Amino acid sequence: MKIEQKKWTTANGWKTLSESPLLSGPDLVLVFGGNEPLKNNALFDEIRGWYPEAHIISASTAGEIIKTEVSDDTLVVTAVKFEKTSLQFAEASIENSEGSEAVGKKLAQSLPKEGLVHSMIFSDGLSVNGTALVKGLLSELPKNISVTGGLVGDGSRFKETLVGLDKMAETKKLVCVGFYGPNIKIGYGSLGGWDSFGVVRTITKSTGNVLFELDNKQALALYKEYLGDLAKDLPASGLLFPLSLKIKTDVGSEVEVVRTILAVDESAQSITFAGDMPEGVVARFMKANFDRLVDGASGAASMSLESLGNGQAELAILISCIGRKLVLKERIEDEIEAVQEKIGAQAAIVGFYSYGEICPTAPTERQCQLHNQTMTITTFREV
Amino acid sequence: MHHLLSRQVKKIFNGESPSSPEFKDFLEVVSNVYNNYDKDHNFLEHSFDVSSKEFQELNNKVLQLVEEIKIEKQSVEKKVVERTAELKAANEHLVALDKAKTEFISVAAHQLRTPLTAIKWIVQLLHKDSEINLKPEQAKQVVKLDEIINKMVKLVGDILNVSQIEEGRFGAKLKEQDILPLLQNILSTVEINAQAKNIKLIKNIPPSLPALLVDEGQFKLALGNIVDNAVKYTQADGQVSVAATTTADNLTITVMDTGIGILPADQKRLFDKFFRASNALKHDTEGTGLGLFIALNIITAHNGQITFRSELNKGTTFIITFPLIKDNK
Repeated sequence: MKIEQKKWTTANGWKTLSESPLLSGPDLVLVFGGNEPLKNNALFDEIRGWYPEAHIISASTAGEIIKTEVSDDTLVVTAVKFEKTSLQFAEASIENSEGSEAVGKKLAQSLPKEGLVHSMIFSDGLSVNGTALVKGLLSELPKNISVTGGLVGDGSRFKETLVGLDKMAETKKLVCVGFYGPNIKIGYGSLGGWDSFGVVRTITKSTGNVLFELDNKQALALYKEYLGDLAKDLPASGLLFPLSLKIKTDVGSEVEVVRTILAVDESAQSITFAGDMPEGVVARFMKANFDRLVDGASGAASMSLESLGNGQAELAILISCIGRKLVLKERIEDEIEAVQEKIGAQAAIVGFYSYGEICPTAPTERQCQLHNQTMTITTFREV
Repeated sequence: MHHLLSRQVKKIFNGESPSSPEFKDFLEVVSNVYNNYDKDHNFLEHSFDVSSKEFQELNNKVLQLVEEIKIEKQSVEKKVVERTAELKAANEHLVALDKAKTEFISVAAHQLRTPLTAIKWIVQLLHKDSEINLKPEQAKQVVKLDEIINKMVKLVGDILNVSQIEEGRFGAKLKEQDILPLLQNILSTVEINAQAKNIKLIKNIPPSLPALLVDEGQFKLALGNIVDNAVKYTQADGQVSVAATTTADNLTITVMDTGIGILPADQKRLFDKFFRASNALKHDTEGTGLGLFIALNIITAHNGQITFRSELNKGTTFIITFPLIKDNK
């Protein structure tokens, strides 16, 4: 595997970050960026000019990650030349969150199954119910194949999220990539590091991923009360209080998943979350603790190495929740450094801050979940 | 600039801080960190206040619930006391009624016994007096009448015994008695009935038996009821055996028959007053269901024990044990 990384900033334009350039054309180019540069045709043309043969996946973010740097409104480009691995791509569009499961099925159906080792999904972050999307994907993928990825972001604006395959990124789009062949090893890990606090509540009124009431009281009013002055910054400030849910998986076990706010609807007095909010489920507010968040990122890196098996990672794709960035602020790079400390400086690190992360709950499990507020890492190695 | 940082810079640089753009940028970054720290702190304080308020509300609800439960408990306790008093009164009333009933039955049985004795005497006179010449048909009727009167005398006797048992007046008058003649007497009484049904009555009685402390009349009544039942509930051509054995402490009398047996479901109620096993009812419609109740009470009053084992259509075995007189050991 050979990797080349570049970064574009308004101030300095393009800068190559890798020590040696690629000698042959890459198979995959990941472009993560702020909405403005991502919509800039000239920048996209430049990238296409460098890598005329490659498949280009682009995604908008709530913060770009490259090496151990986190920045906003930039473009980070990672071009990967796989030596013994082939890739297949699928793309789809979605109108609204009701179609999430169907679009998941459609994407998984489009990927050839023979030799498939793993799949990654980059999904619109605002029009998709992540829980349903995962359900759809898993229902059509072979039983031993898992999915990692995320719901892409739009800063703390929650206005429009963009995804593209080989073209300019656009809204309401999903792209899935499959990795094939016996020589690619892939690991994954996902951890949060948030603490539950306050009283234990029950979801008493909800529809899909839209929450109306907790303990028969308006959930939006409760959030506003807790946020105080910050209520005016909803939905972004709602990320400070994710909800921890105890839900039953399809195989009957109980897992704790974290849900964050995507949008609020003042007229309906409702809150839209990134995944299902089933009635009757126990929910509890969570709060951040700097050290624990950083420990969580480090733990996710360890998990991803565990499932990668023996040998060092060559590439790590980090998808971390915007909620962490909102809390860690100036310290946000602490969590990237913690990840690098675990996976080693040899690995190329790239990623973005998201509206939702998709990963199995344990490195040995296939059953994946939509997560929120986690650092989710997918590591790659060719043997 | 954050007020704290501003003060610190003033103190350290004596009011003359470096004016380079880099230093200004640096101060701005540090100032942002200070501001963010304050914001985070205030935000956390606020959210903990709200959370604490919620917990206080919950706490109040719990306290209110505890108070409600306390009141509910007191109310339930009061109801329990009232209901207990009501039940006690009802129970006392029932006991009084039962006592009155037993007394009535006792009196009625007594009143019946006197005329019955007179009738029985007259019937026997008719039967035995050679001077009264009855036609053969009349003589037959008199014999039948005698049988009916005997049954009535037995029934009245049983009822009187039960009344006495329930009133606690049955009291056994225990005296040292030679058991062998008592047993022989019982067996000779049932022998006639056994012969009538061609039932083989086997007696395994040793030539000598230790004396026991018994009430002669009650002993004969109890053992008589059991042996009588054995013959009654054994079909023609069957077998009833009565055995007596002694150990260092006890005399055991075993009454074994090859009769109809007792249904398992009926076995635990066998000694209940007026209880009759379902197959016994079919076999003999005239029993009172008092014999074994009386036998159990008598044997218990003699410090003895009665047990049985039975198999349907195979037979029943009663085992009656009496303690030996200690001096006789």
